[in-house]
Amino acid sequence: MSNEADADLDIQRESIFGRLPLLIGEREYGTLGAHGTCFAYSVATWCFLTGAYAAELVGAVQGLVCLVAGNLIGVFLTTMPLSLGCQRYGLEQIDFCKPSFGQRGAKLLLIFYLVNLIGWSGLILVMFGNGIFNIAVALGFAPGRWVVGAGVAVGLGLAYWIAIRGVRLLNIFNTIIAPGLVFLVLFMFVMLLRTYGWEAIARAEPLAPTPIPIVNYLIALELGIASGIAWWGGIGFLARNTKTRRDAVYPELLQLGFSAGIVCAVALFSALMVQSSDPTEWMVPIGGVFMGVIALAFVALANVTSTTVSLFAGGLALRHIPALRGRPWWQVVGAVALPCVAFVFWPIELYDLGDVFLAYNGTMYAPISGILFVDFFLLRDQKLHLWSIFDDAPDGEYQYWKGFNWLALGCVVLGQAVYIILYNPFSGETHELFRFFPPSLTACIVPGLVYWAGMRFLFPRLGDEVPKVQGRLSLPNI
Amino acid sequence: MTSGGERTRLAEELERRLVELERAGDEELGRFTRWDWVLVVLTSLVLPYLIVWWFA
Repeated sequence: MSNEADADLDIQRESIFGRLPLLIGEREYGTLGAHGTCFAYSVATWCFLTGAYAAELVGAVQGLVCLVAGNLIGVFLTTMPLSLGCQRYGLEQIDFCKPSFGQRGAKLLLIFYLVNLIGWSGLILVMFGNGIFNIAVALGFAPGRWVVGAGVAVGLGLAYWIAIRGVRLLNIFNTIIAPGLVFLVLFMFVMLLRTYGWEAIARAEPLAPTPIPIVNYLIALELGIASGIAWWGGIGFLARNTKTRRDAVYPELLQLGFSAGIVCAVALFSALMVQSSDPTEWMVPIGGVFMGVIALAFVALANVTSTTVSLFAGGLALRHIPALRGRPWWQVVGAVALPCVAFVFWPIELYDLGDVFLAYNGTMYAPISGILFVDFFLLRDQKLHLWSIFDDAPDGEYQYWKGFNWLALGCVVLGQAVYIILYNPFSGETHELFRFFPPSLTACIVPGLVYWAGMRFLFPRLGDEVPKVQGRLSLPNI
Repeated sequence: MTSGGERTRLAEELERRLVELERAGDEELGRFTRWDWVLVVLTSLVLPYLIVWWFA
C-alpha cells in the first residue's frame, strides 16, 4: 500500500515537474488564477523597457497607440496556436513544437527558448536589484552599487525557492500580488496626471527621434509587436495549466496583450516626463517616499513572479534532455537558474543589452509563431497525433528527416532574413519597404506561407483524419 | 524516476493519459466557438490595425 502511495506521488510529481501531459483535474488555473498570473507576468521589466525605448521615438499619443495595438497583435499571433494546442493536449511548449519542427528539430528551438527565458529572467532580476537599491536611497541610506548585484542574488534565490515548490504556491503568490499591481499602475498613472497634467504629457517631445516621423511611428509599432511576440516563452506553460480553452486564450490576450500595452504606455509617459527608462528611478519622485517605496516593493515582487514562471518553464523544457529527465526537480531548475548568476556579478553591463535582446526575440519568434499558426490551424485543423509526440520510433508521425523538419527550420531562417532586411534592429537601418510591411508581421506571415505551400507539396495528405492509436508507445521519450 | 521499473510505470502512466486526453472533448476542455474567433480576430488584429492606420 505504501509503495502504491509512493508511486502515485511520483506520478503526480512527474506531471507537475515533468513532461507528462496534464490532465484537466491537475490544472491549477481557473479564470481568476489565469488572469492574475498573466497580469503579474505582464508587469515586468520588458514592459518598462519597451515603453522607455518607444519614448525615444514617439510622443505619448502615438506611443500609446503603437504599444497597445502592437502588443495585442503580437500576442494574438503567438498565443493562438500555443494556447489552444497546449491547453487541448496538456502539453509542455517544446512538445507542442514537435509536429511542425520534428522530434529533434523541436529540441533545436529549446536552445533559443532557454536563451529567451534566462535572458528575461536576468533582466528582471536586475530590475529587482535596482528596486532594492532605490528603496534604500528613498529611505535615506547611501548604498553602494553592489546592492543591485546582491538584490539579483536575493531575487533569484526567492524565485528558485518558489519554482521548486510548484505552481500552486506561484498561484497563491499571484493572488496577493496581482491586485496590488493593478492598484500600483493606476496610482502611478494618476500621479503622473496630477503632477504634470495630460496636456503636458501629450505635448512632450520624444527623446531621440530619427528625422523621419513615419519611420519613428513604425519602429514604435514594431517595438509593440515584438514585445507581444516575445511572450512566446511563457505562453505554453500558462496555457497547459488552464482548465478551459477560454481561460487559456482570453487572459493572455487581455493581460499579456492589452494590460501589458497599457503598462508599456505608462512607462512611456514616465520616461517622456522624467527622462528615465528605469521605473525604479521614477516611482519615488512621482509617488512620494511612502507610496513610491510600496510601489517599488510590488514591482520587485512582480519581477520575482516573472522569474519564477521562467525558471519553471525552463525546467520543464530541460526535461527534453535525456540526461536531465530523471534528475530531481530542484537540480533541473538549478540548471536554469545557474546562468542567471552572471547577472549578480555584471548586473548593469548585462541590463544595458536589453534592447538588443528584445530585437533578438522579435527576429526569432515571429517566424516560429507564423509556422506554428499555419501548422496547427491551417494544416492540421487543431488535431495532433498525440502518441507520436511521445514516441521516438523512427517511423513516427513527426520524425520527418531523421527527426528534423528542415522545411520548418529553413522557414525560421527565412523569417529572420526577412526581418533583418526590412529593419535591422542592431544598426537601426530600415529598407524602403519598411513603410509598407511591419517587420515582425512580415517575418511571421512570409515563412508561414512558404511553410504552408511546402508542407502541402511534400505531405499532401497532411490534415486528414489523425489515426487514434490505442496501443502502446514503442520508444517512449518521457 | 530512473530505474527500469520506474520508467516502465511512467510509460504506462503516459499511455493512460494519452488515451484520456484523446477522449476529452468540449465538455471537459471548454468551448472556443466561431464567435470567440470573431471576437479575438476583431479585437486583437483588425481593430488594432485600424487604430494604428488612423493615427499614422
